[in-house]
Amino acid sequence: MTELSGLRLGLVGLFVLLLQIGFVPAWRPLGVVPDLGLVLLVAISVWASLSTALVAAVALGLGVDLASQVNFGFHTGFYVLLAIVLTTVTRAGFFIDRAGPVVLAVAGATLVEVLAMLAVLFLGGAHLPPGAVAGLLLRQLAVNVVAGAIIVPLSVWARGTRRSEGGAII
Amino acid sequence: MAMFGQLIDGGRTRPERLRNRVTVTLIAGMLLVLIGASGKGGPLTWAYSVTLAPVVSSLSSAGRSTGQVLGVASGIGRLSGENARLARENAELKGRLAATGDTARENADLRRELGIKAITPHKLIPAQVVAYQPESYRQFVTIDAGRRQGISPGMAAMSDGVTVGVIASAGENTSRLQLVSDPEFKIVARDQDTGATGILRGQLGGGLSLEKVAATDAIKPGDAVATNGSGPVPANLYLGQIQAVHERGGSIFRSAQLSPAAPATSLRLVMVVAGP
Repeated sequence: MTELSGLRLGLVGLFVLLLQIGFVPAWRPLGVVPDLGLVLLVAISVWASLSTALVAAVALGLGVDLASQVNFGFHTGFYVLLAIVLTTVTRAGFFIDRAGPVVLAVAGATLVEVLAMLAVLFLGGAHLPPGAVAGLLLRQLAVNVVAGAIIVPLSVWARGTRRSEGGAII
Repeated sequence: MAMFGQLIDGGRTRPERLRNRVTVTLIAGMLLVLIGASGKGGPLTWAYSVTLAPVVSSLSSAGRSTGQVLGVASGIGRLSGENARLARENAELKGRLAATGDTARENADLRRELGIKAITPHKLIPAQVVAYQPESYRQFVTIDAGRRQGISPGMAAMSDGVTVGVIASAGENTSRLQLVSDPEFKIVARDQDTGATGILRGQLGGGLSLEKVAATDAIKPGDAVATNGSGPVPANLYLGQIQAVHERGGSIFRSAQLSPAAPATSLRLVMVVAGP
């Protein structure tokens, strides 16, 4: 297990957050906003300690929630749960130290996030035509996986010195 | 907390300060979310508005340009078809405009004869879109005008003659605009051709539907739908055109699908209708 360099991680996190709340919402490739925060958090949760992943989850989630201002707390809550689940799964040895499984984890996390948000919208009485739901789900998956293929190498760069080889996930 | 403790301990020796770091992070995160969700996130919102918001505005502009460049490159064939459709619409609108001109002259004559004052046009506040919703599900935009410019929650906003949304919240110099395509958007609307009223709702994916229209009221494809006038939203603000009517046997209501709303990213300048 390697630990991420704090400074590099901070820089990558800020860069990704600014892209997430400023650049990609105005672009909307395929009509959806790629969840770059989720992608980065998956990479961090797989490669870093629980405490680092939680700090990243709270910072990224709050950043997106403040910019969004609707369903406040959804992103922070989801990112925190994701960080806890993924660091637990990593400790159980499900992830190997390569980018491929991380991109797969991005797809899984995206699926869960979309379904969770749809549930929130449904409970709020929103109108969700099945065709639109299926289209959004597929496009969000595609865009997030492509974003994963770009951001995961960035997080590899953010990985610093080996500090706790085979040790604690804190 | 016991669960987190187990997760952290895992049967190994762990420095106490690291365990504390996890606990403090979780508690701080929960507190910040509670403060924000309770609507008392003043300091948080202020910190966001002075640090990230200016950068977000610049990045939004860059993102919009990128999307347009890539969209033009990939949509030349589509543009050709759209051009033909717009030419047809243009011819139709010219015809309507001529008819409207006659009606306006007739109305002016009647008002003069009856001594009725001319209807004052609505006061419009121009505003530029400075940020978009950072997620795929909800449809909101941030505009660069707020309470100081006379904007208050509930006011309608228009773009290119079409109602695009309603102000959800107004800050000092910025406001959040809930677009008609937001899946939780609702407004009372009226069929301008038949007078039938219903509730216009946004749908996930940008669609619009007119619901709760009495089965006895007439609505048909091609009818124009406008606001009915409620609260600060005046009547007769154009919302869209009916594309298809859906009826369910035995139901006392019918519904209709409207032409889809313009995508949020196409919005640059909006006019907030601030009343007479």
